[in-house]
Amino acid sequence: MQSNKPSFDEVEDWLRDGLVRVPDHFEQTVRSQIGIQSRHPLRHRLAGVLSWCGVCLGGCLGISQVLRYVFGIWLASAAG
Amino acid sequence: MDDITLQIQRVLDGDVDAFGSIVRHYQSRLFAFLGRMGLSQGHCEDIAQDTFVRAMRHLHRFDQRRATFTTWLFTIARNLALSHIEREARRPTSADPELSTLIDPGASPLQMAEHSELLAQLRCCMSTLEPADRTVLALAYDQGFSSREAAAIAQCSDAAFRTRLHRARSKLKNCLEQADAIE
Repeated sequence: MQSNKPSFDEVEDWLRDGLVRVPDHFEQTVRSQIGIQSRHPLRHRLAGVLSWCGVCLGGCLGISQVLRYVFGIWLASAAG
Repeated sequence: MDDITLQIQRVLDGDVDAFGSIVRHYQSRLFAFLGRMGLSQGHCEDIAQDTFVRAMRHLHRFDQRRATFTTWLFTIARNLALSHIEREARRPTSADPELSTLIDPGASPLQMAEHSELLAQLRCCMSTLEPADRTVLALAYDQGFSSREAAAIAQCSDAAFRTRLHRARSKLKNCLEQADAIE
């Protein structure tokens, strides 16, 4: 009985064609992604700056709380 | 000045829509490249999209004196694909639900089943290759690259590229033969 299995040459033809297909609306998807980015560069930058400010503010608040705690202990021990 | 260089210049001059023709020009080759890297349909879509978005975002950094646009674009895709492969290697693998869409709908149910099985086996065998070997294999089956361009994207010398290609093809063939998927 003849084998239906492909040869390695046929597999190589598949590889040449690629094993996936380009979706119908791929270009539109990329365009919309790029459009969003180029339309709102200021908004993206502002969001980045605000998130950095948030991180810095949080850090400062945390450090001040620790300092207050240490100062409280020192004050209590100094008062005897 | 070729057409792509012209489109790049238009994009750099602020015409974002000109990027659409760059996407149209490269999308098929890019998908085929990512597919040959052993990625699923869904992952190819994500990485191809990410590649174009990054290329657009960093287009001002592209230097024609250092590389062609094709080399630059496929290097972005290669880096993203390798990062993805590295991440996926730590996770359990799952079947590609869109594998069946690649099979000729005119084929008989038996042929469809056989092709589906072979495609799954092919992906499985490709996933056993080293990422560097997969890259070389994926580039070698693209007729559009010169050997120099392909080696530049794979980030190795011409000689190393040929050695890796020979090794990758042998490994793939052995794997398919052992799985009894080919004659």
